[in-house]
Amino acid sequence: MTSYLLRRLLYAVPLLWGILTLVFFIMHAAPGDPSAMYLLNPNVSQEVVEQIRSNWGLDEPLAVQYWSWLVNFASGDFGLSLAQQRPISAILADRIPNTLLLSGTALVLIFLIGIALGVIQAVRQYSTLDNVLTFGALLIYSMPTFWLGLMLILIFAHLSYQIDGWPELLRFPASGTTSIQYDMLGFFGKLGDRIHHLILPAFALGVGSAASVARYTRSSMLEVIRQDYIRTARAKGVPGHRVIMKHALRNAMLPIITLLGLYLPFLLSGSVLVEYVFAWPGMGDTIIKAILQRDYPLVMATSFVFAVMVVIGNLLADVLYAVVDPRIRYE
Amino acid sequence: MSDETGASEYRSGREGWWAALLPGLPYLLRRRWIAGFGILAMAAFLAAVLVLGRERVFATLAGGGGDIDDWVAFATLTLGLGSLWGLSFAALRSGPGGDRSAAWSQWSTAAREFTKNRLAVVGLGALVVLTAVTLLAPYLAPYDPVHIGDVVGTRNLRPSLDHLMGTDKLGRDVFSRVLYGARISLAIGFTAIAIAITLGTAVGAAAGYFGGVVDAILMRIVDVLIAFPRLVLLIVVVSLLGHSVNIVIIVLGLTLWPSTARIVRGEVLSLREREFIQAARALGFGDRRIIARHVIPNVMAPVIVGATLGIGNVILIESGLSFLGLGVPIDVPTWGRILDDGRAALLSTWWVTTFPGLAIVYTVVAINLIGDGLRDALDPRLRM
Amino acid sequence: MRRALKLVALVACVTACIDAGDRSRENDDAPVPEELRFGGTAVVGFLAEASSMNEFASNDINSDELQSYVLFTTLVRYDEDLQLVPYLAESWETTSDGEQRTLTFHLRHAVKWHDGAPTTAYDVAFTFDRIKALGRLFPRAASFSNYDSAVVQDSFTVTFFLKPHPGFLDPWSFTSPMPQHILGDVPLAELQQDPFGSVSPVGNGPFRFVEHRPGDRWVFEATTDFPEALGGRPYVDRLVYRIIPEPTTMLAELMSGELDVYLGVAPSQVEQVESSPTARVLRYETRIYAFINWNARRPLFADPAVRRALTLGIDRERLVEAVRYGMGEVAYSPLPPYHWAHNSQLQPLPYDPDSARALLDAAGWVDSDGDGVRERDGDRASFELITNSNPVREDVLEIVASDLATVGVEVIPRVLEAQTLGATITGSDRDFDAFVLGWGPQFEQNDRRIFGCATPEGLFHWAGYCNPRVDELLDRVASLEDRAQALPLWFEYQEIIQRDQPYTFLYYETRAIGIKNRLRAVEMDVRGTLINVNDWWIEPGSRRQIAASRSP
Repeated sequence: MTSYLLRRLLYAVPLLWGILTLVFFIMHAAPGDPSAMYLLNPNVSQEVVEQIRSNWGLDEPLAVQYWSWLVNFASGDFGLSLAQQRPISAILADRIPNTLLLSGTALVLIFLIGIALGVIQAVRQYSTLDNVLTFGALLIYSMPTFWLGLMLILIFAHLSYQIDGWPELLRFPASGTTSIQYDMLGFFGKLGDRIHHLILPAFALGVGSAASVARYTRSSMLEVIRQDYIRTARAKGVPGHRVIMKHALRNAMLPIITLLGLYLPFLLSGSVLVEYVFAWPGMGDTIIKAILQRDYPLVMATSFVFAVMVVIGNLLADVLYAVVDPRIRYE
Repeated sequence: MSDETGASEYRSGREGWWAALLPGLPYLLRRRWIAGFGILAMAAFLAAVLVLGRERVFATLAGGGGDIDDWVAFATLTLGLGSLWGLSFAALRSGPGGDRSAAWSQWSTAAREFTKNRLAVVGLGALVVLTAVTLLAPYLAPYDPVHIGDVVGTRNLRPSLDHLMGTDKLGRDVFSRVLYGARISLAIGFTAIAIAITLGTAVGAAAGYFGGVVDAILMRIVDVLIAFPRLVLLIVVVSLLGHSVNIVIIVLGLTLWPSTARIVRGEVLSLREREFIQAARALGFGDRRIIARHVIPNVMAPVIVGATLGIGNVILIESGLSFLGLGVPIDVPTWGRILDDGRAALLSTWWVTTFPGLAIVYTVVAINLIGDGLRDALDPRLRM
Repeated sequence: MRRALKLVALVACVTACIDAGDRSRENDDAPVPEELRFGGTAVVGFLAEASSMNEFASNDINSDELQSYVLFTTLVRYDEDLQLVPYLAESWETTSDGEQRTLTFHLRHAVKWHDGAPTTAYDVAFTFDRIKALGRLFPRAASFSNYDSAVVQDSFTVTFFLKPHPGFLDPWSFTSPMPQHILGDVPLAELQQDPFGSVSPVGNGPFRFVEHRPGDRWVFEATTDFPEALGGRPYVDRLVYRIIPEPTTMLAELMSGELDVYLGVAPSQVEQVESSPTARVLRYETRIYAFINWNARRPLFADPAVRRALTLGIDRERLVEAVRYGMGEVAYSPLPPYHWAHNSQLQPLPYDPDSARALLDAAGWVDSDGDGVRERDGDRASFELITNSNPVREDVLEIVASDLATVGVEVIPRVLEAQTLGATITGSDRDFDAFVLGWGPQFEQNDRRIFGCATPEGLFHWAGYCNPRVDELLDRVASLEDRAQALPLWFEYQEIIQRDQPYTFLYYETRAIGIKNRLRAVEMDVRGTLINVNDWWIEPGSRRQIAASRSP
């Protein structure tokens, strides 16, 4: 297993290099460069733009820029964000935890809701409840994430405050990670505040995928329930819910768990729009701004982080597969 | 249909040819309720368009419109009504038991399997309705979708009988825009997926079939593209090449193929060792022939399923791109675009953002229902 | 701690209550005693991040305003009549000797950096020296191009040597001295990236820095011992700047009470804020004008008569009403109405499609093939009008396209992403037809970079406009210090621009701010959004309660 992991990680290196090289050249092919953020500012003169361009090395040949980027990057130096004039490592340290918190919560939500619904549907196959849930899941799955986010804001962060008698528990903040008075709250107050802020964005981000996890769980469960050993268990008189929870679910989880790794990249790209809508200061927000400002070093670093997360996600899928199914051995 | 010789043939059924005069009736007589009522409703709808929109239809015929859109709508109207009648006559002809005489190929098994799935049929019906509505937009839309009138008096009107979905910030009728937007959103969805599956199938088949170095190289490219932040590519290409519907289609097509390639490769890897491929090889057929004749037809099932589901996905991505200001040009009303127009004023003029969003949901649900139906029908292993 | 604060507040009152009448202008209906106005947190929502509190590095308007009015102090300030008045500098005097001029500032003695060190002339000289040393790496380098050197006379007196030029004090209205005792040892090459800007700024203004969470918020706290002479301790205890990019989210936060101020309410949202019982709208004039730039290098736009026809063909009254819900005035001159040299005798060209058609006919643009679009010598009167992605400007494109279609000119609206637009219109090949942008220069305007004939072409010569008389006028006003002498030249300049129409000026932008009713005494004008942030106060009964749920 260890050697397998090592091999996979080694293989990831050229993969990451390929991705980043592609990003580098595509990014430099786009019109404009980082100095362009000064271009439409009435208070900045032409000389300044030229000076900045040469100071940032933007007037050098592309190959030279690529090489110097590669050397720095390989030595672990992400460099400086041109737009923010801050070390990129500091920016990443600010942003990655927020994104992980949001995606992680969404991930947990996806699997909790998805599996629960899927199991219910499988147990009550072809019932009205099954049909309603199937259709409901499909409905939510078919919504554009950002649109869902805006609708959630419209209902739970706007109308909820306008309507008297709306339960206080169902009023949510529309943006940010914490309230203004966060620093003055006690431990549980802080925890509650954070959860309060997490609910809408995590829901907007995760609920669509939860619908698809529910679908997978349902079919996987149905397949397992038909197997002989389940029938045997039932025949032996094991109570229904125990059969489901202990025997069927564990086996039905096998294909589901592997989804975990596959949803990670999906969540990350979804987080771009969700973070924007909910003013969530994470990586998605950072990469969009970096691209729009042509902040090359920051684009490279954020792309790197995204790509690493995708690689980790895939690896996680394989490892989980082995954990869940003892028949699988990686050598 | 007044043709005597033709009519005499139809009498072979249980009822007279007159039954087909009302589209769908033959199906109803055979107790095929869904098909019967579906056809009947469709025909009623088209007839209503013909009657209520007669002025515009006449204008098309008189050459007043002259617009290609109008002719497409006219063709849809006539061909639609024609084919509905055609279906009814065909049903008469085939006799009470349905198409018993038809050849039992793999595809017709799949078709039968598909029609057994109620939800999938509903989805197909919904998509047919949507397509018809889309093509008929010039006859259905009460207003010009891009015309900007007096603005101050006409903007931000709530939904009413005059404006079913209200008006937007420049006084344009949202209902008309959503109707016209459907054609562009759907066109983007279908074309982008067509590009993606063509490319994906070709690459996947080549990688799986040849294996070795070819496989390694192609799959590394696929790995890179799958892990690549698609947004970066989209932003860069769109800003490099400019905003246009074609660019958006091409970019989406080019970023979506790797997943198809992966699926196809997996299928081909298992096919490669099967007897009929070995046999074809033993017979000395060339690689291209084997891939085109034997490999690809056998991997089409998962590809078609993936493509169907992908169309919904593309429509969602397009709306996200428009949301970021990177979508189609502003004078092209796609659903994403209309939705974006109402964004800032969502809390007051909620209708501008809500209705195109619902249109997206409707379409993607329909497509997903069809996709699920196809999966069940085409791929016996996945049958739930 | 709280008691100490109260004590300071009371002491502050003894001296400040004298001019309390002045400070409570807005609040005649519900008088609240001065001492009860202290306290509470005001939360302001921005659409974009303020990048840095480091004067040497920042380049965006949000950072500038926070520096000038919140965290730091400038030497001089504009008052509401746009006259320069003392601020950190108590007074100044100038001497003139032909080509050389001296400018001596006398600083106030009582202003301290928030770590306790006094603000001195050394800080001012340090800031100036670093700006000069950074040269063109300093974004606003051009402001100091006529300044030569600085000499510290004593701890609170500094003298500058400069070439005489109009508006020579202006740079000191937006440049805040930086603390030498903190930044003095930072090597020049690292000055702009120093963590000072984002992590640990130390100011000397009415608010001290507490926290910055990039992309999320800046938190400031009232400086309790801020000198009375500069306005005294601010009423609010805390000032929080939230960054929320999505307008809908912002509006929801304002309505639910999470925000007190929403800067930059979208025109389409104004009505909703106005109809809210708990919030109000404040409209204020800005320095920004919106315009269409015609690329005179293109055959269609080379002829002033055609540009004039295009202006006549756009119903700008309707445009302002349609895209800005009336928030703006039809524009006609590059010097907006606030400017002392604004020529108010000029009238904007009317909306007159018939004259527009006649002018186009006369210029040879005739629709001979009956397709609704004019042509001349095989060229069609059809062009791409571009702008950046900004909902209001996108609407402008659509309205202009619909107006010009009625005079036989086809407009293809295209929206580019901002950086692409910037690269396109400033690129040396000037490969574009026309674009729509907003322009908001500082008070001292330099229009030579826009309308002068320059060789080689500068960045902002996007109009490709050249008129030797305009060059002459602009050169002369750039050296005339006497406004009375410069005024007729400025007027003539505006008349020529009106005649030649290198731009079609669309509107002078009025902006709207959404304010919660509990926040009082907020004022904004052409100088900016934070001009009286010291005077903002929150009704005692409706301040945020710690640990309580959100109060609507």
